[in-house]
Amino acid sequence: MLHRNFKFIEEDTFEVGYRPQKEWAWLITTAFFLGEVGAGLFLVSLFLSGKVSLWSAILGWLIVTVGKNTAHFLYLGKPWRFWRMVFRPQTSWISRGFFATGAMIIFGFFHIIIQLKEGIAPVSASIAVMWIAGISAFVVMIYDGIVMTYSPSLSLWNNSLLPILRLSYALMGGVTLSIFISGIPPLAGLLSASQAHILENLERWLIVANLVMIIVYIMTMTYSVAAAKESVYLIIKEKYPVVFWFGVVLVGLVVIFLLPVIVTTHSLPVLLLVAVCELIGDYCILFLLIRSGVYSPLMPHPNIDPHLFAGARA
Amino acid sequence: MIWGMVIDLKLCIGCQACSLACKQEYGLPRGIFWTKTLIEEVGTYPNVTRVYTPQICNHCEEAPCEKACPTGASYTDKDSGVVLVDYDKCVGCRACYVACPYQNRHYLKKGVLKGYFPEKGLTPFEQQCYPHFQEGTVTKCVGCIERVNAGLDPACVAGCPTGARKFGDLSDPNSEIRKIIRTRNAVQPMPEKGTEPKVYYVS
Repeated sequence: MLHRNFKFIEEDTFEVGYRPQKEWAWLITTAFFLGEVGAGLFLVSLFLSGKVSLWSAILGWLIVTVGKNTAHFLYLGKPWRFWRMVFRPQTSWISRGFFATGAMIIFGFFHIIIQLKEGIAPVSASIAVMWIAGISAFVVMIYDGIVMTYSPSLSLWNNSLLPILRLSYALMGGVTLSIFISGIPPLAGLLSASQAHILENLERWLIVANLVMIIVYIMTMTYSVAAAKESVYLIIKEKYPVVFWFGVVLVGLVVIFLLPVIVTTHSLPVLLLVAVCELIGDYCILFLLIRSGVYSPLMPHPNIDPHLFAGARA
Repeated sequence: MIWGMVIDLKLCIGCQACSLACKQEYGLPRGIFWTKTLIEEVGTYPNVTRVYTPQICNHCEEAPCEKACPTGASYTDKDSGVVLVDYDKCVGCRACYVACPYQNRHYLKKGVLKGYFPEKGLTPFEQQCYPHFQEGTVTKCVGCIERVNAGLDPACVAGCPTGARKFGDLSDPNSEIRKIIRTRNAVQPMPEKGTEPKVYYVS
């Protein structure tokens, strides 16, 4: 099923072969991860009520504002020029994501203030702020998947399932953290039984959905072009099998699905363990998707000129 | 005039004269090659040979690097069709680097402009060339647009001892490269990516 025609080359040599994507590494992974989880938590908070909603919104907002932006800032070669990223929303999804992140930070802040001080703004205005903050949080959750999908260079990324997978993981992160926040002592029991039930069911369905999507993704790539097969080879067999099988599948999906089933008392340590496992799985799959991108060889010679070799030897 | 190039794979002998001509023309920092010739060993012993694939920025018509750039630092020069980078606008996000299917973008890491012999300081040549670059930004082939405007061939074309690289005007149907493209079944690299490269290969 998996086959290789060219060498896999990691060094900067002048050889023809498959080369891994190396420029986007752990800092970009961290930035995307924090953006997705923070925005997911913020979006989920909009559907909750009371103090759980407020603290989920605050934590989600902080993760995006401080965590995501700091990681991006540290990654940029010229960080103080970050404001220039507003200039290309017509073609660049990074630029669009920059706008969405900015909108989420601004309107998310207003939303939190309105939640903290009830009656500070008219109802219509607070609803409008909530909608804008929610929509921008949704874009923050999905845009990095679209950034990767729009890149024609790496076959592993160039798949329309990727943004949906990332959106689903972002939502799962948000739901998991909301459940954890609702179990912290001052907030424990404040979430209504129906909302808690919905969150737990949603969590289970998202775990199943993510597992199915990962299987479909890997299968699709396996039957795709050679560079995508090479990426799958890296993920499941050659370079990152531990990260995939242990981090993504076992810890990130199986454990968080089974733990609440086995341990029926939803104590804070259990909720914390589930949240940590979910975040580990989320980070691992994003890391794998980013680091396992493989470029196709520049010119597969035999495909364009089968007679060239004979000529060269003559 | 629209910048275009045809590379004859049968004429390339893998001497890397193009790589060195380019490096010398622009004083490219350590580890940066705007053009190079890739080497591939094919066959099974004793019937083995080496084939060479010269690589250069394709200055694509539908440049994915330009579309991915969030700042507008990557742009296409309207007069020549050459894809360029404005270092003053580049934030070093490397979205263009990742988006280029041909791996023809290069990131100037911190410290790369300390020269080939950092402990001895910059050579006079490096002192002259390095101010054009900025660490923390992405760099790429500029199509020797200044040489072309002065009526010269790009450095890699002029430096090729076998004439494997031909340069010309893609907008002129009677130009030499247009004739070669028409008559010799020229192919673009990775046409499936939909980037419409302005570099063609013949063999």
